[in-house]
Amino acid sequence: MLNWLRKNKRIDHSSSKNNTKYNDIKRLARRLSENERIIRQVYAKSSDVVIKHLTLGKAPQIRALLIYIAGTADVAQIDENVLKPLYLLKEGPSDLASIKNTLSIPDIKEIGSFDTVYQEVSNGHPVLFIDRLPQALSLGISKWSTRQVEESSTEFVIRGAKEGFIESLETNTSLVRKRIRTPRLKIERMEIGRYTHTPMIISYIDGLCDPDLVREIVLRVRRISEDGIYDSGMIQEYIQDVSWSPFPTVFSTERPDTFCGALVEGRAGILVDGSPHAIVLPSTFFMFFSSPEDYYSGFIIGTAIRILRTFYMMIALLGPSIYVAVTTFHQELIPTTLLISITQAHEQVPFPTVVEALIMEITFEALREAGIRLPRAVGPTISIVGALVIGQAAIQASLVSPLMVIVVSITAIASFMIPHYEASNTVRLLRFPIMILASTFGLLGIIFSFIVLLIHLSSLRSFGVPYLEPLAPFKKASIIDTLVRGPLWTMKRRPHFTGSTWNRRRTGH
Amino acid sequence: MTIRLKAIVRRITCSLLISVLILYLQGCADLKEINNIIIVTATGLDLNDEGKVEATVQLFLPQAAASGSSGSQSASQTIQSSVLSGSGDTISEAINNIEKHVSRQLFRGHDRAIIIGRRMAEKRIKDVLDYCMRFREIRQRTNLFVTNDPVPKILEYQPFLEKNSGELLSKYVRKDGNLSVTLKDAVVMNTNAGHSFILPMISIEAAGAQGEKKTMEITRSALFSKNRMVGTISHDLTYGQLILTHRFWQTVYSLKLSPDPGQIGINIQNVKADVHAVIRHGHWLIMANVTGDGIIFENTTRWNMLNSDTIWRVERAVNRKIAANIKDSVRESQKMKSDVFDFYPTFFRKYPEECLKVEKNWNDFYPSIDVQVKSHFSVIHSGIKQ
Repeated sequence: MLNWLRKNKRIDHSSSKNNTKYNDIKRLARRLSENERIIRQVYAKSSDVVIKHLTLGKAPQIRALLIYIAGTADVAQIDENVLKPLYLLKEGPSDLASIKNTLSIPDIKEIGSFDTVYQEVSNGHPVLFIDRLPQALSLGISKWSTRQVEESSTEFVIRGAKEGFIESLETNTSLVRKRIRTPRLKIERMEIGRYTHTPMIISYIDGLCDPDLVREIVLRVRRISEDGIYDSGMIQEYIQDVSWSPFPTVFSTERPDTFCGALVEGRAGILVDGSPHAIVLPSTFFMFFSSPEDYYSGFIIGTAIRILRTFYMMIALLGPSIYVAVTTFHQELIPTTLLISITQAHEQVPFPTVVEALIMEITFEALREAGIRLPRAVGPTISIVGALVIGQAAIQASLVSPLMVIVVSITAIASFMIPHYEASNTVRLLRFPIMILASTFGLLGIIFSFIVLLIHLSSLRSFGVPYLEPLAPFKKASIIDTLVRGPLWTMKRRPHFTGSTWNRRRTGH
Repeated sequence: MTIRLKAIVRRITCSLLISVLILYLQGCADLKEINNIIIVTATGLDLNDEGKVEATVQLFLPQAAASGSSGSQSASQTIQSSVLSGSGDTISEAINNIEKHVSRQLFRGHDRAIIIGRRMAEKRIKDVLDYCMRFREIRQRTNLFVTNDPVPKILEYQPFLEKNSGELLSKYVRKDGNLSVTLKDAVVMNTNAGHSFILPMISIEAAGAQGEKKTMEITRSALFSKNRMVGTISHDLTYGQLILTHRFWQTVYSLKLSPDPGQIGINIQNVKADVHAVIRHGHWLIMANVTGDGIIFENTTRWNMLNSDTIWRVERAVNRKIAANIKDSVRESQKMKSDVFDFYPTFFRKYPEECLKVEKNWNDFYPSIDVQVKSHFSVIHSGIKQ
């Protein structure tokens, strides 16, 4: 796979001669016909590119050319704000300024080279060429088909905003602007992807965010040389500090309020066009285990829910392993009555406990994965089959013991209690090696794997920030917002990475 | 990545892989798959006529229980436990002989009770304590019992409330007023100067009236001294031992206030004992201050329990009864030269030098100790009725 990728890249370089046509940095010609010839050559075999001849003015007639891609430009606006004023011109314009004044469009750019023309056209901006002028006008009236802003489908809350990011970058930035109304909010635009030229923005709050962090992000993003970027997940994989870790070191969210909360804390964010998932940097371990609702529902409830969540996260990670270890190594740990019912239940089961656990866990993972992919119409069918197969039938056929089903289902519920999907995937994945260790070493194996996990976690960093902060290294000021959620007024300091000069959240306390 | 670095990485990966695989080789050594163990719920130890150790184990049968619970409603009727015996020169040999004819590994981690036969208790109680402490699966919290009945009969006894007699016994000892001695308690008591400890005695009472079931009861208490069972005291006198060793919780007494024909039922609780040792002119004396509360449960006398004079009479009667009980039980134990009241440590704390002089022959010295009991019970609730 790796070799194949490398080979592909090599082919790319060899054919770069062919690419010069598309990366023409030549200046535009004065003659319209010359410009048209080059553009027609570039946009050959592109049926959706519209090239329209115009004649401006009556007395000195001046030819002009409008070029756009059908479906990306707003035709109604072209009609109303471009064509109509241009046709109504009495005399042909002599310079760009007069045309700019004629057109009732706020966003007009003068462009001078061919590659910018292609770029603007690709961005959905119609480009207007005028004869005898070595410049063209890019008209900012693109209109891409997008869906409406709707509730995030992966991060639900009861209390809190129901808006979620969508695929359109402009809409997403407007959602951010709507929440942070200060000119300090910076939105730096970049393009990424050799062929896709996907727009993305790096967003931060000037004065809160460490400038070095932004510099580092830009540096890392620039280094990405991928043909196409279709989701922030691809960027995430390139820019994270450690790739060989099951733990996500880059936090992603679909919720504008979570995103803005992170920005105000002094973090930086990345939004990619075409992806409803925003990235937040740097990210720490506890971000993945907190929900925005923790902050909206009062600190007592918030803390209680966080403790519950932490407890169930441990169950999701260790549940089946502890069951396997205790029932095959440490039977003396089980209350007698429970052990008796376990032995009764296990009497008819033909497999060792670990095999039984693995069968059930893998079946459950398969059901879950199938449940995501399956078409809506067959959903109920599969869930019935799944429930029957995994639950009742397997017990009646004595394939598994009822207790194992309880353990697996509690583990399943527990894994869905982790608010961040990627983090819950990590926990699910880690369950399996721990289970195997538990089946060979008992509780010793569980402790061993737990220690290894802790060592690994404390070695991780996200953009230079220790992953386990504020637990390790211990930061007294922010510990109030980790496993517990202290009252809002006790969180006086921003996380330390914002630097010491700006880290007071409020004055007067 | 340079070639050298690659080689290093490869070497590290290989060594990691090998060490992990080697680790796994020794793994599973402790593995006890749940289908391959059989749970022992109680163990009995006795000597047979040839003087060999006869060990009996009560086993929980998972299959019988599984079929019983999934089948008809006669789950309570199916016998879920079975009893096996084996003999040998030592306890471990006897147990090993049992294991020879069981297809599964005996799992002793849930042994709730160790029942010692009278003959074993009289001759080789030391073996029992040693074996049980040494064998790691047996918990130190396992309860010890002594019985006059044949041990297998006790283990075969099918209680009507619990699954088996082991479970029954482990719940009996938690009842108020019953003596509870765990393996750890016995071993700790055995380290004192007199090497004496006390164990509850159980026996199966024959069915009385028609339809009544046989019951297993804690009837007396066995006293041990110098690794031998030396005698028994009655269940009532055990209260004295429990009070002075601060393990008494509550019980009900019947009082008669003569000349009235009626009786008073009084519940004694919150009993506290303050035990002091005094040596006065070479005279060894134990002074015990016993305090407690009483609640009147029943009154068939003509006395009014709301009258403070009557209450005072009742209190005095209780005090007399408790003091007599304690004194009697100490006297009984002194007859058997078994210091189950832990008097030696009480003296030692105050008079270490004097104690060390008599430590060697403490058991002979013990009967000469005098006991003074002062009892102060107060009736805290009369049970309202006029």
